[in-house]
Amino acid sequence: MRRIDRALTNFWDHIVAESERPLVVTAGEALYHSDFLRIRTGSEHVLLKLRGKAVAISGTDAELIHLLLLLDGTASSILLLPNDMQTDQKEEFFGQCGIEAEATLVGEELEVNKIPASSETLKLSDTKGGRTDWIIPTSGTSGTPKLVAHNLKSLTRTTKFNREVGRDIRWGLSYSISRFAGIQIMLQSLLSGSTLLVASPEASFSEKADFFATNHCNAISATPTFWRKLLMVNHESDLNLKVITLGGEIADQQILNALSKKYPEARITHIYASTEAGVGFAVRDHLEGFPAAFVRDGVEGAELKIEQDGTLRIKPHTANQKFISTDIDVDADGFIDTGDLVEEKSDRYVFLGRRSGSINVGGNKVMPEEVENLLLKSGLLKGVKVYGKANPIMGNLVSADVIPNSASQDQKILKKELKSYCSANIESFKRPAFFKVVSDFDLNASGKISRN
Amino acid sequence: MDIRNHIISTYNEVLSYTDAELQVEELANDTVLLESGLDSLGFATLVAELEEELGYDPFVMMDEPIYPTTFGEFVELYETYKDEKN
Repeated sequence: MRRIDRALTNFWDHIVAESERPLVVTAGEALYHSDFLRIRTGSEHVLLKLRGKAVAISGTDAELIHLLLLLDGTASSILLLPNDMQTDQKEEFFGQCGIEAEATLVGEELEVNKIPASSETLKLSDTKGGRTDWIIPTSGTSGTPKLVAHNLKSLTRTTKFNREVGRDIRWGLSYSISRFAGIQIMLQSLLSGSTLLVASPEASFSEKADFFATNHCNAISATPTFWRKLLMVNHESDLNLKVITLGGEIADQQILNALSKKYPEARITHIYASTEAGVGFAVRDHLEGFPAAFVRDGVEGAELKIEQDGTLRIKPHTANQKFISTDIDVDADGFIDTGDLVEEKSDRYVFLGRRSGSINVGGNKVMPEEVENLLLKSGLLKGVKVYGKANPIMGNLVSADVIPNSASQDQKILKKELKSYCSANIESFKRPAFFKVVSDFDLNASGKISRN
Repeated sequence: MDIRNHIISTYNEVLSYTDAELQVEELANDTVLLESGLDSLGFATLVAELEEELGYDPFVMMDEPIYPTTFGEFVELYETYKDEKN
């Protein structure tokens, strides 16, 4: 068993130089250590220019892996840009992180685009000893993404890298590398000498499942929704899974049972991770929620605290990230507000959802207020309340209670009109699947819609 | 209307609501659900609609969780749990 050596901070130096097994397999090629080395050698002159700089990177998952391997230990910080990022958001992030250059990989060439310094730039790079910050935007439960800076050491603090085990593992990558969960799997795979299977960005779900099966994938970390879909496609019979990890959404008992039955040999773990807290914890007993003992005794790497209102707070044993966005709430004792609500049930805590009312639809976050505003713009309604309704396939679906403009309006026609309005104006996962016509709903003391 | 026809008609409604198109000539017993035109969000919506219309959701009623692969298996689930609804 190895852990990342405190003295070594460079991602590249930690990956396993192995000639027999590829480090990464994409739809088009198998990439060995020698391939990464060749690209590294060919990029040296460009890398020199990026020494100590704050660099933003973007590209396909395979390209992001290359870029992280190249830039860690050289750049002062690396900002991972998701592919679907809006331009104005990107510029705001560049300002917040003091980004000086944008790097991409074109073929095997490292290409750099210099960014003119903005006057309001806030310089983050106070890196000590060449440690590079990895700045990962979180999907932001308040609607706007937050930036959290990690580094190789903090990201791997609780990860165990056992190369004896690792050499037999072939991870299927279900998450994007620009997401925290994707980074975790990439590190787990590359630092343990495993092979990481990266499907083509254009692949459909079935094609991805096929790609994993054809390439002898035996480990996948994914959302419960991904797992339910995998159980619904034919290809799953070809997968011989040893390692199953669930995260990113609440893992319910049904999906845990279905996976234990389908893959009796697999080690099944569901992960609770708070991007704000850096690392969360793992539950391995095939039961939903987590044992109350975790709150009494702590879990690996962290202490837990439950607030009166059921909010879960986490305190990592070491402060392992810096908050660039300022709206992350840490209490006087160092416990970070996760925004997740839990409830105690027979010596366990089960997750109830987000305190903000944010709805998790198959891993996509939906803010009820946003959907309410969009629905009100239809001009069909006097009032609307949006909330999540439990669903066996996506975890939750969006539902709406609506007050029509006129009480005498035909409900069927109204629902039809609302649905066609939604089809034209609201992203599919945010569209209410149900409309319930009501005459009134509860408002809280401040006159707002009561969400609990 | 029998359950199969009910499901087909609701399926078609959800297709149009989610801007999707049927990817097969018709919904047959061996049609693979996730390749038929609805994505997982569409299926989730279909299950939710059917619960509203038929008054039950087999996915929450089953003791052993089943995630159907084909349209035939999907219909069978609804037929199996038809008599167990309260």
